[in-house]
Amino acid sequence: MPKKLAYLMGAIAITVFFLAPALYSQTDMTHVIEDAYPSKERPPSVFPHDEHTYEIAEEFDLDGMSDCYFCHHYDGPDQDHMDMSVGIPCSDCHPVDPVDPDVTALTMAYHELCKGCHIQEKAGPIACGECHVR
Amino acid sequence: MHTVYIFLTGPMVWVSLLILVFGLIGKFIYLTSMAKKRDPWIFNYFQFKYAIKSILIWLVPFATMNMRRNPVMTVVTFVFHICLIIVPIFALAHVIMWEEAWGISWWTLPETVAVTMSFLVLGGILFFIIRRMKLPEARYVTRVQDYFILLIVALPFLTGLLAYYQIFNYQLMIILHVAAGHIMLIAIPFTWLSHLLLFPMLRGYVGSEFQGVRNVKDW
Repeated sequence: MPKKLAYLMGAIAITVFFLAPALYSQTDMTHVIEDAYPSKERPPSVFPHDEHTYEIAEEFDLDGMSDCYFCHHYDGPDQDHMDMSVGIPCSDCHPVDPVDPDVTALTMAYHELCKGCHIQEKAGPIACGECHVR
Repeated sequence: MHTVYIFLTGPMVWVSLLILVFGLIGKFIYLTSMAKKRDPWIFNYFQFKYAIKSILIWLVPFATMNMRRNPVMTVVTFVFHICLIIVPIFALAHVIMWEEAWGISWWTLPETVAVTMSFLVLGGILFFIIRRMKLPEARYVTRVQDYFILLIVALPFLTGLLAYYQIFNYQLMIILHVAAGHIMLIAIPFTWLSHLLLFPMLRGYVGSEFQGVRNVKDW
């Protein structure tokens, strides 16, 4: 193997190694981008993803749960279910306008998750325009 | 911010609603007991069919002679009152807050429609202010508190629009908006805003006398 090719492959391997976590974190995510809404009445909610993962990992004792599960839950009607829903769009389980009244609608799911935690922790935005910034 | 906002959108809602409801019930009892002393005969000739007929006719634009005589005022006042009542009940952000708090949800206005209707409310208030200043017969019966209640009604809509467009400090504006709404609800039983109760009472009273006793229309 020529030396040059070995260096190149080494460089690629190192790059992939260091970039891999970036695929799983959402470093560049600043807003909730949700395509499920037929029309958008308000601007998308501000949401710096990694500030939240950092806080959650630091602040909360999750009892052996995965950090991601804190928001990316996947329990549905079965409350013992502890799988994560990372990578699954929220709207797959929480439709904008659910037929089943027991299913939390998409907007309410977001609001309960974000606002609920912010109220409980007495930190973070809770009024409409604090998240839906123009 | 957190504590004030949570208090104003939480426990304070019950305070305002209780003052509104019991204030109006108290006012109704006070006025009927006054009528028993000053005009007890109304209880003999009061009739619901005449009361309801009078109320309904006075709720239809241009159905009364007075409305036909003042067409501009009629259009402005109907548009104003319809917008004033519809916007707070069907504004998207309000319905979402009710759904979060009580789990009840209903039909909502598109945001642009709610914004337009809010501007119409403010335009109506401006019209009423100018009318009270310029029209001699209106100026003659205008007191300071008549301008004051126009201000009380204007503030929730003005702050609501500023909060919607996020002009000035949003956090301050949203708190002012909620506070202004509470002031308006609490002021209803104690100011002329109580005409939401006095209108049907007055129409029932006048309607029963005119239609039932004098045999004439009261519209």
